[in-house]
Amino acid sequence: MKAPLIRFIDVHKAFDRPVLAGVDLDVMEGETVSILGPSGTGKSVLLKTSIGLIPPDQGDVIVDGESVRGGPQALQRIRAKAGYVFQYSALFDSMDVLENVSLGIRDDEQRRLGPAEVRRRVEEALQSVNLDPGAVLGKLPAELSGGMRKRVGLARAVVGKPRILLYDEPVTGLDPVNTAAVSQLIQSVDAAYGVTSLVVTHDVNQALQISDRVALLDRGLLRFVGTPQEFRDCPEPLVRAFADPAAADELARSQREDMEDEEEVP
Amino acid sequence: MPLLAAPVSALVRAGSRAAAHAGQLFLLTVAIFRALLSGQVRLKHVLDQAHEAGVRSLPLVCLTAVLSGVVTSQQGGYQFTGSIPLYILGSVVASSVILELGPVMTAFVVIGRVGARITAELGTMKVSEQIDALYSLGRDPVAFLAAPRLVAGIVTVPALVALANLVGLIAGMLAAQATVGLGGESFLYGARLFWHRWDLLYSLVKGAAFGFVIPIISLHMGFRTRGGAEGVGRTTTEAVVFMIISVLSIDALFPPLFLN
Repeated sequence: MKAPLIRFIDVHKAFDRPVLAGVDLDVMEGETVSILGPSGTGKSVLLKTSIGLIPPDQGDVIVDGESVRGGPQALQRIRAKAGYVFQYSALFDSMDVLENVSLGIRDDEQRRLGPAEVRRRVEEALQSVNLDPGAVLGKLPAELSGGMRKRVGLARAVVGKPRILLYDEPVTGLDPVNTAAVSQLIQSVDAAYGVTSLVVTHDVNQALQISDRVALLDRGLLRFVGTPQEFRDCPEPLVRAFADPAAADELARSQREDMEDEEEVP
Repeated sequence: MPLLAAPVSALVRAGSRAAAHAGQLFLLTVAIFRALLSGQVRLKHVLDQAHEAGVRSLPLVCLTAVLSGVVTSQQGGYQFTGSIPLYILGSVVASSVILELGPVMTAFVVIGRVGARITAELGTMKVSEQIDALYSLGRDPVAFLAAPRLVAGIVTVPALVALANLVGLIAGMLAAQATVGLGGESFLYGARLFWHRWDLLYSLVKGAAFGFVIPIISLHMGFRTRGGAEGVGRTTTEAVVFMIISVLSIDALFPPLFLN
């Protein structure tokens, strides 16, 4: 059994209401774990705590033996090990694809490599996400389609050869064909770079297809953690609601009836 | 007493908000200077911002300077005709443009063109997770985004003020000739009559103060944007109001500090 590379230990976070209420999760080295859950349940917040973009109010996240609460230097070291794929790609509008992707290589590394090697690595990263460098290198993000922007975001995350990849809703806003393509891409990138991946998604099919384990976050807590097969076989109503669309209808109906009953209480 | 409770509590709230802004502005300023001293700021980014803030503001700054000079000259000419020697108009236009209108009208142009853009740009980057992306990529948004914009402001605004002074003065001189028939030589004689050698320095220092305060407020407001597109719009409006009030307050503080 490999050691955990990312450890969430009793992570709490509240904004105007509690979002995470004590999340514990170990992500093993080389593993792909997907976090599923209803919208607004704190999946992205959990992902952001893993590299300290959002600091936990209580508890800790340990990445490769270092705490995200260990100060700026520790955070820099943690972030240097991780590539982050943002929900809407978060590409910089005023920079072309070459400049955007090369940001994934740290400044000191860029100085060491020199411009020609940086460009070669950017081209390699673009090819690994099935983009033609010659066709996109000089383009601005606004000149790319949604699917291409996702790929450029993924290329930026992998160009620095990270040990960890963090995906925040990687298929949001994509059509089914592009969704399948991005899922295959995540699998191939994970295999090619041998990384540990944490994927936040609301797409159950994608989660079951690409993950070694699936976790279900609801009302601030992980309600289920297991393999895709265990997820499919789990009898819990909340898990069933995610695994089976008919069960989701049933759960939504039952929740609506509960709310109506509560409203009728004098 | 209950009648006073609501206004007093509103005053306390406003005071604590202002104190919070002041504290955050101070911390941002310290962080920017720390980033500058640590050599994290790229010259290319500073030059890009200087081009955006300075070169691209030139047409609008020149236009407002021409109009300021022309209006001052026309108003003065109207007031002085038949009562005061007309060459005094040169002094009035020169003083008005160099001490007041050049710096302040330039500041208003920079608020509209540059300050509002910085807040909207950073606010959009904040709500679209680009600031988070910079952190995740090991870049400090203060060094990457804020420092180049502040340096560009401090350098370009005094230069724009100097240009606005020159253009305003020439426009005022031509307007004086066209409206009240005051020749260029008489105009310049009047301008020199009450000229103090520190007037230009005063004007440029005022420009530098505006060049600092406009970007620092717009950066601060951009970084604290929340709430999607609506939040960006709301924060940009607040930033513009905040910048106008700050520029006018500094403008009011300058004469007692430096002209007495």
